[in-house]
Amino acid sequence: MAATFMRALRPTGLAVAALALVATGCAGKRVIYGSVVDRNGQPMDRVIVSLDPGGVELVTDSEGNFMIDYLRDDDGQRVKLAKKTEYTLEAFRTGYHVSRIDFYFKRGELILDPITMQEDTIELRPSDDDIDPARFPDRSHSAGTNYEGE
Amino acid sequence: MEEDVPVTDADIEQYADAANAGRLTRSDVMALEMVGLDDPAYTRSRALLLMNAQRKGDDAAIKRYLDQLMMLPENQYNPIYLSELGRYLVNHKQYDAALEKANLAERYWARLPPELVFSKKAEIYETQAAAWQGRFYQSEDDLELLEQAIRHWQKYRDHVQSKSRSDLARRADAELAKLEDIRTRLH
Repeated sequence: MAATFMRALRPTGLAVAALALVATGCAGKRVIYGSVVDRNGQPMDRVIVSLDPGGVELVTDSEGNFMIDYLRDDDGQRVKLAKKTEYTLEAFRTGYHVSRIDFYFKRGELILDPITMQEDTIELRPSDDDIDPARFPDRSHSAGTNYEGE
Repeated sequence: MEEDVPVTDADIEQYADAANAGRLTRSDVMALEMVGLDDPAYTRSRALLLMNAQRKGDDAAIKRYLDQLMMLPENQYNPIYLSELGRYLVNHKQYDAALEKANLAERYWARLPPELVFSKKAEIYETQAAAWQGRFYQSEDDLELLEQAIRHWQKYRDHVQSKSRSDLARRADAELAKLEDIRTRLH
C-alpha cells in the first residue's frame, strides 16, 4: 500500500518536462513594477511613465501602479527588457515636476521604490510697490467718469 | 479712552512710512482699523494696513484688508487693489476669480498713477499668465488653456523686456520653457 502510494507520487517523465518548461518561463521573465504617489503618499493615476532606453511610454492605473514588461526596438517591435542595463525612468503629469530615477536592471523581476511627484506650485510674490493712495492723485473720481470708469 | 479718538487723514500720515516698511505696531494697526467705512480716510487706512501685511507676509491679514478695501464701490474698479486681489487669489488656487480680477485691472489700467504703470501692468500680466497656467494644471490637459498660458507669459515677457528687466524676463522664460516642454509631451 505504501509502495503504491510512493509510486503515485513519483513524477513521470512528462511531468518533469512540464515543470522544467514552467521554470524556464519564469527565469526568462523580465519585468519592472513601480508606483507613483504624491507628496502625501496618495496614489497618482494618469501619470505618463517612460523608460530610456526603451521607447515605451505608459500610464499609471487608478492605483498609481505601472508595469513594464517589454520595450520597443527601432522598428517599433516589442522586445524583452535588456538585462544588466542602466535605465532612466521618467514620470510626467501636468501640474507636477517631472520625476526621474536611474536604476540598474539585472534580470528577472524588479520592484522599484514608489516615485514621489512634487506639485508645481504657482506662487506670486506680493507687490512691493508703495500703494499708499496719498502718494498719488485720485483718478477714480476724475471729471467725466464715474467709479466704474464708463 | 484712546480708541474713542477718531483718526483723521492727517493723523494717518504718521503711519505711512512704517506701513511701507512692514513695521506698524499693534497699536498702530488698531488705530488704523478704527477708521470707519464712512470716513474719507478709510481707503488710505486699509491700503496702509494691506501694505504692512504684505511686507510681513501675513496672508490672513492681506485677505482681510483686501476684502475691506473692496467694500467701497470705487475700490472695486481700482486697478491697484484689483491687481493685489488677483495675486492673492492665484496664490490660493482660485484661478477663475484671479483671472477675472486681473482682466478688470487691465481694463482700468489707465487709472494707474504714472509711477506705477510699468510695475502694476507687469503684475497684472503675470497674474493673468499664472491664472491661465493654474487653470490648465487643474484641467484634464486642456490644450487651449495651455496655449493661453503660453500666450500670456509671452505677453508678460514682452512687457518686462520693454524696460530691460532681465530678472523678470528670466521668470517668464522659465515658465515658458516648462509649458513648452509640456506641450511637446502632450502632442
